[in-house]
Amino acid sequence: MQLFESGVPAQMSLDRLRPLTKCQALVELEVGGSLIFSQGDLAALFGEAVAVTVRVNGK
Amino acid sequence: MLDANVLASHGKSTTVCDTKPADPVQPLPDGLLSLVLWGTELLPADYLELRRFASLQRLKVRTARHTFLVVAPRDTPAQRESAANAIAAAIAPLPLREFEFYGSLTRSLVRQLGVQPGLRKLLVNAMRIPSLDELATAPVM
Repeated sequence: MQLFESGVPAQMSLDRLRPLTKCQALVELEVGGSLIFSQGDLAALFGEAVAVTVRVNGK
Repeated sequence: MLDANVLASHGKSTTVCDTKPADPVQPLPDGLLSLVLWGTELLPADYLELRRFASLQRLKVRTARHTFLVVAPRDTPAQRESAANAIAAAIAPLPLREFEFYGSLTRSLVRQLGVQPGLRKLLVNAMRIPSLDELATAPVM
């Protein structure tokens, strides 16, 4: 699953993504855009079962 | 240059359709497996036409309409939300496995994605991501 939020100012928080931790089939999550968290924060939230990637400003 | 970018795949063949912006979907065959709608001039009601593609497995769609001279949407937030809601209604009967969406992500579209049974790959690019509670049951891998 890939989610990109392009709004300004940055709004996407970890709380917004927290419901996806209940998505049992989720194995890969890429989040990008106007984020207010790091890849480490995302990895800690989803654990080892989900491969996470964070892209900031499209990088 | 295409006026409306419609890339359609039917079986093993791929066709780029150079169609009029007014209705780029109408000439396409019912048995499509894959469809890209990008930079079209479709109105929200037009997206409901997608329901006749009963075999559609891959859909990439951008509902936002932009001018080419100014990098900004030229449709209103309400129009973009109407388009997203129409997409939600359109994809409900489709056996989508992959869905890419560029537009306003609305609650109704999130809700539909959460119950889309065959969905395995999802990409959403939106100005703002709403509550994802109803996506928690999605079979996305």
